[in-house]
Amino acid sequence: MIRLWLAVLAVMTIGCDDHKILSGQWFSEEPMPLYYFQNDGQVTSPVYVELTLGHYGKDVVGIVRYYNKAVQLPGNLRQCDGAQVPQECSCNEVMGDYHIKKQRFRFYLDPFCADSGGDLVEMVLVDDDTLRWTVPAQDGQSPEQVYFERVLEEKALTKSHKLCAACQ
Amino acid sequence: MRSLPVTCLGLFLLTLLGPNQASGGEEVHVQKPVKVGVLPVRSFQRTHHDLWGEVPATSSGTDPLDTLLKQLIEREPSIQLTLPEELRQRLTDSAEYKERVNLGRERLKLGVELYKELRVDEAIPHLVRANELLLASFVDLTEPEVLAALSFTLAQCLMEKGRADEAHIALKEMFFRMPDRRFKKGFYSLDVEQALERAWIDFVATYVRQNPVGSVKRIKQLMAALDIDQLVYAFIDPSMTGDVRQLTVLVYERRLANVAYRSSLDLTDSANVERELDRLMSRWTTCLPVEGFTKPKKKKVKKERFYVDTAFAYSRFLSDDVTRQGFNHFGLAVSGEWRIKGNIGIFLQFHVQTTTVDNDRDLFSPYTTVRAQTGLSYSVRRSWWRLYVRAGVEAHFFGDFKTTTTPECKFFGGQECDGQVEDFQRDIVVGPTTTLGASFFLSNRLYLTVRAVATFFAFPFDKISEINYPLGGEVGIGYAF
Repeated sequence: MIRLWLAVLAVMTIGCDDHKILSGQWFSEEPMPLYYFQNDGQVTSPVYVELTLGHYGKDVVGIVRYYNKAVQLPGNLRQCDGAQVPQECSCNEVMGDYHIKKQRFRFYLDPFCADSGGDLVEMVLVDDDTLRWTVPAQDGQSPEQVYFERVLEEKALTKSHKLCAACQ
Repeated sequence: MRSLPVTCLGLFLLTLLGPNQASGGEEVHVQKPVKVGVLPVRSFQRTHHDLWGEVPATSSGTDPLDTLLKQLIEREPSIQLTLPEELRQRLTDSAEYKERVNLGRERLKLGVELYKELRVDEAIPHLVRANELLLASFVDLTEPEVLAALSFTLAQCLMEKGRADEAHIALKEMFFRMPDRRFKKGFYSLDVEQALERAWIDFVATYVRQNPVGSVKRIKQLMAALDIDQLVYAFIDPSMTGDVRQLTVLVYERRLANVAYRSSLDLTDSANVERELDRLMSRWTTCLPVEGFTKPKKKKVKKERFYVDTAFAYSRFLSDDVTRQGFNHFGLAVSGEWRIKGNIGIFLQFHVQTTTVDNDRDLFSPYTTVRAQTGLSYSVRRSWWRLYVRAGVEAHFFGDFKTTTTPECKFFGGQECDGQVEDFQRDIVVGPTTTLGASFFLSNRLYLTVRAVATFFAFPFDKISEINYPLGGEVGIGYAF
């Protein structure tokens, strides 16, 4: 009898992951044109972006790291392995929100650690393992779309993945 | 989530519902007469030699038996007897009878005319349909000679078409419908005469004469049409040698649609027939089924005193200040109730439940609770359902758990959680509880039950400010004894 009830419980809990679907690690397939965020002219080349997120209902928090080349995926801890952007601002903590019905994740990104609050980024969940960021058009160019693929599940995240510290 | 006080759990229903009928006052035992119909005694006593003759066969001699049978049944006070004449009247008075019989007669007439015109192929379907229509109105009981004539004509048609087997069956049906029918020697062809003799011999040897209308389905329809509980049918079996006379008495019961009583007696010793038949009928009337008398059906449920069930249990806290959306509990409930007097009983109920993680994951990890409830119950039991209300006290054993609403704490942990976490240690709280439930009986013992359970944590006071008012629903299956 207890087994029966456990089976019922298991069935009832399946398919209810919308409130934590962003949790895990995501990596951009293409380098992102962060010129858009450039405010002091120090960085001119595109960078690859890695998102390590925790998703709790409407709340999303996590770490963003920037890389100057696409590292072998899935990597464990890519920080300070030579691929990361060799500058002072190699990662940020981010906090945003997730709209379940629209499957939209919004947060502020400050890739130059300018403490300006950053720029609003909107990403849309295309499928369970793909996020799409539509970069707004700049200087008459058409908008550009960058896709993020999930590289780690939430269960695989360690404390190191959640650490944002300067490279040593 | 803010507090929502638990209100109106339906205790007032107690005053609206009547007393428990199942355990209530005296049962009314009303004795109703058994409605019995009796068919005329049918005699199949003849030989194949007396099939032929100009004059109708002499009386089969069943009239004294009819009279005797009637007298023996009538003397039983618990029997409401319907005589053959009245049975016939009931059949012929029905609304459909005339319409069907007229239709059947027309088809019969058409079939006979076609046969006389030697259009046998066309005659057969009309005769078959006429047979169906007339049987539907039990013309084999009201006017057996009509159907006997039909069977004979049909048999002749079938023989002309070379369908000897079917003709043979039709002739046997003819003998069953009118056993004393005679035929003019030399009027029919030799084939027909031989077929008649063969059919009679086979009829004596193999025909099932125990059912006056041929099938269980028809006997059921007949007794429903006549509105009788039992039908008495007696017949004298044929004898090849002619020196054996045996009366068989059958009693059909409507509820069973089958034979409820069967017995035979020897008619050769005419001096003892009355006494033997008296004894035979006495055996039947002595054993008249008690189902003929009304008896309250609720007798069986009266003595139920224990109700045990196991149920799937769900609950959540109506008042929850530590998580934003609240969280659910799922688990198993086991419940027992002992009806100690009338509608009043005591109950004992246990739950083992575990939590599911809320959408915001404000609850750090699942935990287990054990709940024990006891108190008094009040129930109302009817034939297939039961309502119950329970009121008592609950002891609620919480497992350890922690909550936070800060996403940074959930993700990064460590220093981010400083001052952000509510820590609930393992504890016991106590408070009043109430249950409103309903059970639906699948059989005398087995039932499905649904109930709502609400509790208020009242003690200790310092533990009840942030989480309280668990409200739950349960669905399960139980057994009463």
